[in-house]
Amino acid sequence: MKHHRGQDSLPSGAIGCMTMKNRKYLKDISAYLFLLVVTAYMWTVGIEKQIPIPKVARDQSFKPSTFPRLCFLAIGMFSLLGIVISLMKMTGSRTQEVQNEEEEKRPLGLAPFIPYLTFAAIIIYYILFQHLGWIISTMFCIPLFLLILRCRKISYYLISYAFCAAMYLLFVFVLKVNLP
Amino acid sequence: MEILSQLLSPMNLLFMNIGVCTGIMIGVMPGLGTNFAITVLLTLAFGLDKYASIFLLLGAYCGSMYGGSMTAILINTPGTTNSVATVFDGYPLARQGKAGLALGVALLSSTIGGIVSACALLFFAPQLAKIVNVIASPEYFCLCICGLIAAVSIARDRKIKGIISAAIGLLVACVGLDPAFGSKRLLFGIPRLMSGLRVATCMLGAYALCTVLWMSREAYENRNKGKTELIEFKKINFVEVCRSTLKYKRTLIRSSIFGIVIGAIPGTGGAISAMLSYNEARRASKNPDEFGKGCIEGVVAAECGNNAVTGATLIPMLTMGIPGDSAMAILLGALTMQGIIPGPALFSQGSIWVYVIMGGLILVNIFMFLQGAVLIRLFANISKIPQMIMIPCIIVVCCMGAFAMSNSTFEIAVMLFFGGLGFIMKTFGFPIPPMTIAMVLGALCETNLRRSLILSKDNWAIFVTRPVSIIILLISLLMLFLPQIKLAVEKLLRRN
Repeated sequence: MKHHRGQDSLPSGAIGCMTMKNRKYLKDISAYLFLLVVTAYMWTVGIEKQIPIPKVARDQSFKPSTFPRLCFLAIGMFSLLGIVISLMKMTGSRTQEVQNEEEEKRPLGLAPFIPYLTFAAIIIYYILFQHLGWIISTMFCIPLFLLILRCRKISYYLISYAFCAAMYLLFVFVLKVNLP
Repeated sequence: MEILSQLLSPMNLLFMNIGVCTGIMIGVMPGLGTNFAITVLLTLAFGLDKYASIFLLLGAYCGSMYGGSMTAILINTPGTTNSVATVFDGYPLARQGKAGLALGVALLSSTIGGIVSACALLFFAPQLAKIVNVIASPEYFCLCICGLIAAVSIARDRKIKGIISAAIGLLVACVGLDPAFGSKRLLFGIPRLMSGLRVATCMLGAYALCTVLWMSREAYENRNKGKTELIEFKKINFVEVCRSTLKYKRTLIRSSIFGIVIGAIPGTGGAISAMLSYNEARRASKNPDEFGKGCIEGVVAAECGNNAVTGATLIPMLTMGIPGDSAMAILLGALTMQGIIPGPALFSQGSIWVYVIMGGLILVNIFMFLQGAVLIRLFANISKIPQMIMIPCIIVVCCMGAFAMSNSTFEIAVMLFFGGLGFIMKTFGFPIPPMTIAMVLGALCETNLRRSLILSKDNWAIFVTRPVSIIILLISLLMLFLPQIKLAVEKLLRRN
């Protein structure tokens, strides 16, 4: 393991905290970079493609694309500012930081992926909703949502079905919505 | 007469009560706040009569503000951020066997704060509307910027991300046809976007669906945990509650004023008001040491302070069409959905709308008290509902609600997009409220910018040469840099 100057004087918690911070800054920088790339594309090509200017508006100073351009300009400028600030903070903390090669303890298991799995299940629900209608898609997807959460209690499945049935009655008979 | 007939119509009263009841239930559940309560009920609001739908949402707004106090008192966990200050004395009171008294005091104080705030709205809003009626486009544009900056300043230490989030919201508002020339904007090959994006659908995704995604991980991790344990409480003695609450008249008045003033300032909210009211009550108390150890006055100050913002936050929204916080942005979206454009014209055209809303707010607070008094035990038990059951139920309701907005599955796709976007933004630390507020303000902002530039013949200096607009811009800058200014002043004082 590599040891840097000053590591001995720093408690292990502080080291962990600093690497955590750097990871946060890296995460921020990647988000800002992504926004910057999108902005650059939109500014140069995207806006022209997405906002055709009609003849009557060509000689106007405030064209239909002016306001969106200003918004992209704000996103681009502040992303750039965000990158600079994050880099400054990162290098600031690196002056005392130690490269801790030991990986921090990460939460094991499926937990970090559960929101993504849930989102995927909602997309499946949406597709089934479109093609098979509300009743079949809901009957199929409620167990799917609960299985993703590793629910083993039958009562939870029954309660969810009962709640959805009540909602169906409310939407169809009270609010007069034509559910597919 | 028409106002009264609308206010007292059985259907409207029913939906007011449904809104309050659902709002309290959602407020009770830790992690689900006011925004969630309003967005979820928005799914039902579209199909109702316009008055009933607004009462439903107002009920949810006030109910969820109060609901958070129950778990704050009974399980030491505030249901919403507005109830953080209630924990300080509410929970110690419950531990001393006075949970019933604390719950009763919280309910009565919330009701008093809410009613005083509704009265303030009734009095101040028409006056402010008269002033707003005479301001021109440059000032209006500056007001929009002020609203956006207020939304960004909520983000505190994430201001850059807040500004980017607001800019994304403004871009979302641009989707559709250009209001002046009718040219297509940012459709990305989807003709259905020609009529623009429904703010209500976007909010349903950004708040409700995003919360569900966030909650799913928690539900998975807590799947083997037992049920939440509540502190048991006996039947509430309301004579004792009234005596204990009304003993602190000064605190009630002071907290109500704090709530009204703070609520009327965009970008603040119930949490700040509750905290300030609590601190002020402690500072002014003869026994400040009792605070934090189970002091009734602490609960009175916090609860009265947070509910006193409910009417006041409607002041900028109804008079200027500028939402002070994300809950107001959702309400504004709902009003627009019903064909009502808030602003000074609503007052000058003699519309009964505003007065129905104001009167409705007073009734909502009264119903909140009655429901709280009768159903308090039921509401408290709601916090025991496992998240696992809530997740599939909320997903199904959100999809049904989004579909019902235009009888089309396209709205579900839009909701899914914003749910995903909200989740990604939250993961990377981008605040969502600036985006949603900007979505609502986008059209107003662009129209007034365009008009101002036409008025000044493309001279951008128009915004800094007119006295009112420069004052508004200065206030906005002050709001944005207040923490830095405070820090600099403190440093200067320390040096001296």
